[in-house]
Amino acid sequence: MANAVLRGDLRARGSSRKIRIMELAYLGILALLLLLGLPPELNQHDPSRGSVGLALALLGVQVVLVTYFASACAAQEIAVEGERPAVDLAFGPFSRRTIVAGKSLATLATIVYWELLALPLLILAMEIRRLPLGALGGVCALVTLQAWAVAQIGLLCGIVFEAEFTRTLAHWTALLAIFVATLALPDAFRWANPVVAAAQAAAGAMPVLGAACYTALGLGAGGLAYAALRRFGTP
Amino acid sequence: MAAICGMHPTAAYGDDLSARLGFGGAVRVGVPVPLTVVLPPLPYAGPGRIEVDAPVLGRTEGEAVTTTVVPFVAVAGVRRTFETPIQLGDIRRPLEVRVSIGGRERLRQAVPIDPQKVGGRVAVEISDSASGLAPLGGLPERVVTAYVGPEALPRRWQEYAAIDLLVARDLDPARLDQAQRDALVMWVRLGGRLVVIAPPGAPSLDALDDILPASIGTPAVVASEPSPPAGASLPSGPYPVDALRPHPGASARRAGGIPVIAGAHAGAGWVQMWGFDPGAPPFAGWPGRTALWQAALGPAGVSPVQVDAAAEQLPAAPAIDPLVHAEVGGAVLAYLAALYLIGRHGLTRSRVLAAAAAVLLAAAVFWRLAGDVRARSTSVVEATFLEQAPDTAAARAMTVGTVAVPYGGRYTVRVPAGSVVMPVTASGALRIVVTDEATLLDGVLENGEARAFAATAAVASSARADLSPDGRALRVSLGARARRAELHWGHRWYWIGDAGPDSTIVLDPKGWESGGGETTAHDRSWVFVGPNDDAIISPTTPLFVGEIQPGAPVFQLADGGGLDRRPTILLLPVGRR
Repeated sequence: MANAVLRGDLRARGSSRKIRIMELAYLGILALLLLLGLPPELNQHDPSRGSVGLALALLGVQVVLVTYFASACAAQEIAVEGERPAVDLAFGPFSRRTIVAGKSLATLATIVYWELLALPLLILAMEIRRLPLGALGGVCALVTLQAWAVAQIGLLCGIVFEAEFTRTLAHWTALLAIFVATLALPDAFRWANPVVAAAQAAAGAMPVLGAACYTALGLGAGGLAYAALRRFGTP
Repeated sequence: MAAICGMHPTAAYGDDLSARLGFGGAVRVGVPVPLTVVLPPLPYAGPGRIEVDAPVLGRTEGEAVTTTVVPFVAVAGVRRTFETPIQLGDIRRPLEVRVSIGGRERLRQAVPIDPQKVGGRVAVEISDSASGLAPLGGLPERVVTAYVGPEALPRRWQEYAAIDLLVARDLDPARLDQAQRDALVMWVRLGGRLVVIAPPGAPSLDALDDILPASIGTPAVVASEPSPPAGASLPSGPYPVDALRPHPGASARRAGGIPVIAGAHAGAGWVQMWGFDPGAPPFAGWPGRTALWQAALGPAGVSPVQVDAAAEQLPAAPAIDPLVHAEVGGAVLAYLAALYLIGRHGLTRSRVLAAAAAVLLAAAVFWRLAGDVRARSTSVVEATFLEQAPDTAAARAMTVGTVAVPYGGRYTVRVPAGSVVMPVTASGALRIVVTDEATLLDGVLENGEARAFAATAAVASSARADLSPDGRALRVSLGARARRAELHWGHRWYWIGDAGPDSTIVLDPKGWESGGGETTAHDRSWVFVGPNDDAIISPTTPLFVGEIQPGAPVFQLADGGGLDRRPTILLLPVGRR
């Protein structure tokens, strides 16, 4: 692993007690929802409401949890033991490119790992209800992309805002804008909401435009983080 | 014959494919009607199947069909004939018949349904000449008439369900095969109405003697009456007749002192025999002929069992085996525990690999577990209604089964041979595979949805019940103990409770009650207590209703799953003697 920041972050996250607790909370919530949703009468088909069913509700919860935990770690809202913030690294021997790429890839690896851990639970929930498992790969890829893009915003907040309160406020504003404000968009743009987009992907209609927008958002936030590090004199 | 049209453009060799629907095209909606498909000699051999798409009115978008499949082994160069029951749901669209051999579609025909041939009531005459039933066409209750040859008579008695009156005019029983004769006799015994016309010179009817009310006597001539009485039930002579010899218990009408009409019950059915030709003078122009035919047609036959109401009485979503949920909970907990044990001291490269292995193993196990949960939660609830045909050893067994797939998905239900099974409400997303061994119902249900089917069969049963002339004592001979028994008459019912195989029940005139199951302290049968207690309609004659032990299950889930059975309901018409 050539990137020292990535190596250090992965090592820190691998041994972090907070990360273990987050993983257990994340998987515990998904497992609890899975078990509570087992009685079939809770999942009755209601064509008038275009019901997505509990299996897809599980997917929605997963999107929210993974996105929040990933971005909170990136924004230093949840400080992982042994993991140095990007601002601290800016005063070290690392280039801006190494810092942003390392942080970004560490977040991506964490998200992929979390997605992997939840995969059996999703398979169980979807296969019981005969939802198409073929769409699961695309759904996981989309969720990973969405969580990574929002985590990139968290990284940007961690660099731009020095005060913890301001950083947290900015992070939560971004989360609310992405998860709540997008629900007010016209139907044609509802794919902007991560949960709606994941549900569309699970139904077999991958929102390509949404995936492209989140990719652009992640790259854009990463670019801005790269630029923001300049003010610390980092090469 | 039903008109055949819509030849598939690629099926140039299929000119001879023919399909006969119903009785000379006469059909009714919602009941089994026969479909006969005649395949021409084809240059193909191997496994084949006939698929018949019957349009239905469904809530699903687009055109819904119920597909009936008849598998067969094709032999090159051989003409084949197949007969299968079909249920019609939407008469605006034609039936589509497709023949596939060796996995490729070879023939296709569309069979349109003539709206003029869809009857409120249907009268069919077995005759070489299409005449005789015209008087029925003028009746106010939209009677559709049709004429068929003996070859059109079905080989399953259930396929007569569309017919209100069958007239055997030129019937030579020798032209029927054994299966057709058995089906005809069984249909009559279980409630069919048959008129046999036996003018002088008619062929012997010995093969149907068991159900006929009279024997053919000697040819005679009804003498002319110079001044026939006003309102005479039959026209004045002279005309040739067969002097009938009514069997004991049969009613007879005479013309000029000669018995020319005999009628009698045959089980739950009614058979009349006419010793004259109603299409020949003087009957052809006789003003009383409409009344004669109307009397033969009789009132519309109504089964005491309302199938849709009975289906509503059955739970649509029976309780799921609690072990299913425990299994899932245990597996999920085991998975989380494994992940915790792997990662509790931090993640190294080897532990990440171990976690990945745990994920892969769990994914495979959970996938299998999900299939098991779905299969074990799929269930069918069934109840049988046994309608005894009086004074016979046969009863009509109608089994109503409700299939539920709680999580949604596919189901396959097996119904043994001898039963004709149809959905209670015509529905799409259903394939009915008819073989000599069984009928398979293969469909897909949404979660929370249930689908009801009704299977009709004839079973051996000799139960009987008689009410004493003063109405104070009921003698029953059931062959087995009945529980929660009641005597129904009109809108009133009399609680009996348990009744032994052979017992006499003394009836208290003050014991009659009326109203639903919620108004009484008696532990009434499930059929009277539930969301729809109108499953058994109020009978105009006394009817003994009781629960008996169910026989072998009718609906069986092919992939496993739960079977919940309600006690069989015995419906026993009560005689007076």
